[in-house]
Amino acid sequence: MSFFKKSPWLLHYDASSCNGCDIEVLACLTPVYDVERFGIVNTGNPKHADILVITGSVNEPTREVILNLYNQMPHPKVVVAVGVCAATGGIFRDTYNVLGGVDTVLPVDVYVPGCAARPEAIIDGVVKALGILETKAAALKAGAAEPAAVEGSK
Amino acid sequence: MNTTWLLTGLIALVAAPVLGGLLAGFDRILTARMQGRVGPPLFQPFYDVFKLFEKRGVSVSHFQNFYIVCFVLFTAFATGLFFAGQDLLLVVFALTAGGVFLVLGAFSPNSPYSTIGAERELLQMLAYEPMLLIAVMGLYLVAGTAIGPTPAAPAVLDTGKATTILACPPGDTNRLSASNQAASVSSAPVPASNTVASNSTVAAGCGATPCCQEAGLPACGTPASKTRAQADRNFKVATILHNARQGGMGWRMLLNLSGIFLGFLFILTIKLRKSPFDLSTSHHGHQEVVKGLTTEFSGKTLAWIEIGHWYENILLMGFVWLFFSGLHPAVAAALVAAVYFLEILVDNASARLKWQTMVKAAWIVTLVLGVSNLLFLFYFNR
Repeated sequence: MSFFKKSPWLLHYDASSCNGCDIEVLACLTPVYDVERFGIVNTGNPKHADILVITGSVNEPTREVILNLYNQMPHPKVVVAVGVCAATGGIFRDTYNVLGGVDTVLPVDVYVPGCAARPEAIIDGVVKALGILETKAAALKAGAAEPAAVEGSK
Repeated sequence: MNTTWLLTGLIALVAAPVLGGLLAGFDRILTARMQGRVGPPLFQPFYDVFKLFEKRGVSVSHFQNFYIVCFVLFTAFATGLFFAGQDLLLVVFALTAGGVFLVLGAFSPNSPYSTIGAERELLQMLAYEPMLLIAVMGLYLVAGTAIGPTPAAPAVLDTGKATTILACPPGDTNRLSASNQAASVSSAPVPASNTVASNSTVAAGCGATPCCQEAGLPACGTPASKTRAQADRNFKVATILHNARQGGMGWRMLLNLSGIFLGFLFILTIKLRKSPFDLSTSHHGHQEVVKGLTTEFSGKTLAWIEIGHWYENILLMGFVWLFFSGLHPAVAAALVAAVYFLEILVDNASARLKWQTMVKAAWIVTLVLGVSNLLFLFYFNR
């Protein structure tokens, strides 16, 4: 029996988001949605987190930060890209300073669409990520090697 | 320490983390309700800890996990000692030692966030430690000494080798009169050694179940001339509970300790890591310098820190109980619950303060409420 499903701790990072999706992520914590009902906690520390939630497209300064945060998270871990910018780069994808979606830097497990993504969609995405987290946990338990840290190449 | 107290201590070692986890779950639900949310299930803290045990750990320094093992061991040791009715001073110092190990663990990875957390934890210890010791001294002055009528004239038994003076503890209701005692003593067969003699005589003189044995008093069955002073004047939890109950102290105990009790409530907020004093690390969603003390701990080590914290909370609730120990157990339990509720209320109603304000406020409270109460007890309540 795995307890990841009962106690997912999130780390939320804003990689150049317009704050639309950020507000919706935080709205999940408010009395209306109250994700703590499911044991979901918004932690500010990568070393305590299981799920990395990223909003906004990735640009040159935030790329390093994303990699740093991801590599500091202990295994097993999953990445959720929230909003269309995080998924593909959105309307900013052709801008000279934007690299694109989160998957240009990290292996993304779940994409949550929307501009801004609705809290219901975010909760759905996190729940979907939990299934993947369980699979990864089971693989680690079965003796699979820890995935290597993601290097900083584009 | 007799077997009953030893057993209570051992049970506490197992039960404290379970109760502490339930208390934390209850805390989270109550906090959520105060914020207009539904909140997690009652067992959520256990789910969190079990999950952390499944997580891989990341440790920067070789020593950081070792320090946490020491932290948990010392905190569990303090909790076990407390519930085994042992010396309250030793309990406080074991708890402090555990706290110091936690700080050392936070210092060892050399991370800036963790270091800030460790320094703040040291400041917190600086703020609460004097009041904690004053609370111990207050409890000692009120209930750590002989209460009630002086014991009946001690029976004297001549064993041929030495004169053994026997005394019943002050609260013993089954105490026989001095003449009866002497009679029963003389009728008892003369045993071979002093120890056996005194044991059998106490059993004869104080009734079938000597209350001193229930309370784990060291004086039970030992020559009174030597141990009376030690028996009636000590810092043991067992002595305090015994004197509070048998001495019929009731509300008087709380009244005599009112200043110290209020001061203790103040530092309890620091010790339970509640707002406005959750400077070193916090359980809340809002962060303070990332996660302070626990920033560099992950996986199993973080789970152990949480378990150590549960031990600590149960120990502190036990400490609060001591102030109410003269009352009926049901009333005392209700009051302890009320104290915890108050802490949660304060936690949710206040924002985090600066450490300067914390140290100033804690020491002013310690001086005004704690020291003045102590002086009152020392000069007027002897």
